[in-house]
Amino acid sequence: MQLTSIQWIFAALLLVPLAAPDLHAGALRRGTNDELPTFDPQYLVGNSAGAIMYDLFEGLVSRAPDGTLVPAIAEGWSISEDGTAYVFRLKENAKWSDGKSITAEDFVYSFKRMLDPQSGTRGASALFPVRNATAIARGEKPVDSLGARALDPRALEITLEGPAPYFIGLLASYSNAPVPAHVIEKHGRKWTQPGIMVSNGAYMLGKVVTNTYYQLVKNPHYHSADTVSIAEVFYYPVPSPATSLKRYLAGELDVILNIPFNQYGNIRKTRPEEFRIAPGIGLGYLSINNTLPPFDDIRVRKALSLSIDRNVIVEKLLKTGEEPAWSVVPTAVWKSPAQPGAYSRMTQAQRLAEARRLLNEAGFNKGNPLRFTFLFSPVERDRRLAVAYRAMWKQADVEAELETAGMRALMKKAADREYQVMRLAYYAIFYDPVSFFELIRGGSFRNYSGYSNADINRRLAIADTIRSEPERTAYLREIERRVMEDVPVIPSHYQSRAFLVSKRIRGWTNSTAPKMAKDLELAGAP
Amino acid sequence: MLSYALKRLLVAVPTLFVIITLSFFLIRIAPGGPFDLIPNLDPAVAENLRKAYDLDKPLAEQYGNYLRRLASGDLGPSLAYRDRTVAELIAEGLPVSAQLGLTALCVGLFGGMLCGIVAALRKNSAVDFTVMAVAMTGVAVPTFVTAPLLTLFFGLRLGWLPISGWNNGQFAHIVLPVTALALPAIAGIARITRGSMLESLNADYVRAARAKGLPEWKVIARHVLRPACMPVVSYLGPAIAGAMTGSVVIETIFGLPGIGRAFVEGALNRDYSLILGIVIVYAALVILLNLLADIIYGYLDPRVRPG
Repeated sequence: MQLTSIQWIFAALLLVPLAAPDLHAGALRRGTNDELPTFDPQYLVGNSAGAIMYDLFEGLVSRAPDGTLVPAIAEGWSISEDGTAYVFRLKENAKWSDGKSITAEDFVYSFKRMLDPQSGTRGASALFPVRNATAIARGEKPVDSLGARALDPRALEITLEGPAPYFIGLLASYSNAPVPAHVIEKHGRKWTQPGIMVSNGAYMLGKVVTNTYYQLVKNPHYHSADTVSIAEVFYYPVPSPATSLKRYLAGELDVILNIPFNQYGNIRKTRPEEFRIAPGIGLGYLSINNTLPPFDDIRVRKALSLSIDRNVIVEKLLKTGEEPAWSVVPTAVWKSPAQPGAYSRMTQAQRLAEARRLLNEAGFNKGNPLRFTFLFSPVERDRRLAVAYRAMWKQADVEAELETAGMRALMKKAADREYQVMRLAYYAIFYDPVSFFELIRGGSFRNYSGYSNADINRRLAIADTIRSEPERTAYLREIERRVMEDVPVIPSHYQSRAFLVSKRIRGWTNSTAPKMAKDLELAGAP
Repeated sequence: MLSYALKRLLVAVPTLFVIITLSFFLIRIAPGGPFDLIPNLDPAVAENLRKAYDLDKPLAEQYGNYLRRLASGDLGPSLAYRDRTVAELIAEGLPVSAQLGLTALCVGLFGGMLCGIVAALRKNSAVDFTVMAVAMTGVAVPTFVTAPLLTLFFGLRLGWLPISGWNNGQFAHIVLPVTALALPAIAGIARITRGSMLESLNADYVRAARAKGLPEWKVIARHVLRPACMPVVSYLGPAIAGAMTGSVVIETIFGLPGIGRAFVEGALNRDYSLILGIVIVYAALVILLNLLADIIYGYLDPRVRPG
């Protein structure tokens, strides 16, 4: 009796037709590292699948493929004499994907929703320069006190707490794109479901097969729809780097970012044209606990920095277009070379000699070496970096003991300053130099080293009042030069992002800008 | 039989309660919270988030609130997936895991019993040794080795099958994960079947059946196979529960949207309500299926039938 039922099941299995897998070859197919926990741009932050948000949503301004800021939903704007009041004029043909016009009121609604402490949104800090925004997020002022109002359906006025020359750049972030009030009010939490969701970017949500793919289709109501070449985009969440690479090599994906670290060298050899490196807007650095002796001694911090051979780190170890870093702000953010600092022109032997001299002065030598614990996260890349740093310190008679902690424990230790020296990476939320000064500004929650300098804080406040861009840049570079003399942190390298991009994709640029499907074209089969 | 089943179910309630309580407090011991890894999260915003999800209250109060909501059938919102509740996430993942697991189990059951029967009937022959050698390999080599090997060969080298993704359970997409998942089941079941077949082939009642002139296939089907199935059935109870709730490893390697993978990601994301929800479903399934296995066992073997 058992046999017959089993035979029956087996027969049924054989009857299922052996269908060829549907690879969606006519569409752009992108791999993302993570699944998308939500399609609501105000709830999604710091997820590699965030690229999808730039296809779905568009803010007042946007970034062109080369990284420059361009008007998007706004056709233009004016800024008051004191730099605190902005009036944006919206494009007349700016519409939601359901055909309804986008109004200034939509932006006011979205900003208030983002800042409302009851809402549970996650990207509020990108609006903090707006008047009363911080107080609203902390629950100290009512939501209606926000410095944003609609002058008429197409004119949006935003008033700031004080001048913030980087404010326009902040508005290009997807978290500051508008969300459709008329859909959210009607459907609540369900508004991001396929079939209900309305967006305002070049694409709108098509089909979603959880953990398999997200399909986007061209938005016919997009203001520049006639310039959008790719009709359909598929995003595939593939958390495993090995699987991601396999699927790319099998021709199932056109673009991936998730590549196993140990395969970089191999790919560079076998697929040199497809291996595309974009300059990073991230800084790989070592945070030193400035509040703990002996690290409160500037000589000790400087010696630790000098003994690190950045060229070896970049050329022998990382090998993916990283740049040696002697200061905190990357080249791609300055849009001109990063500041080399006084020691970058020395040979490593000279730097080592200087490091030994400084340590000697601070009371450390071969007989009484400086000892500390170096903390890092247990991923392959960080482990190799840690071993390299330790070997470099060893040459200056410094004994570092290696210790790992999971990302959560690591960040907690950083915030509580329960560490001596640790490896961290910093990615700016917006592409302005001041974003990186958060690492050293007194009172910033991203300042894990505990460094604080009243003069620097004062100068940073002055920088915000400078209207002329070249003048402001020169002023900020001077601040950075002064700060780095104190070595509050040890910059190691400016991070890059490596992509594998299929040869059939046209229009790909190696820039810091988000890679939006509307700027790309497809030529030929995979 | 009915009162026996009811009694077993009644015992299950306190068991579930203990599991929920232990899990609730154990997952809070893990360092860090659900919102720790959001980069650039302002401390004020982080505090708002904790409030929005009830995480700012004392643990005992949170536990009370959770139980109250659970009593009304609400598994709560997911902390990581804003658009979906825990119940929705489980409802999405469970059918995938179940389809994958049950298909693999069917393949395993059919393949395993076939191999076991053939091996037992051709005892100590070349066939027997080959089958058992393959079965031993199947037991010894873990799925996290066989799965990548299968994708390398059939997916990349030959290009016959997609190497990951679910695509609504399309046949081509489930072949490799089902094979990887079925191999150890085939091996295990083949060994159990062969062993119990050999035992019952030598039994007196089989000799009696042969003596009264039954054709050999009838002897095998009616008198050898039925008792030989018993150990397989007791193996199946927990195996079905395991299969339905998903193989974490297989779902991760093949990128399948089952609850095994959701469970792992829930743990990594510190998505407390998702972890608890899956634990409850998993525990309930194990309890139910074990009961079912016991009932079937009683049906097959009158000796263990409860009075």
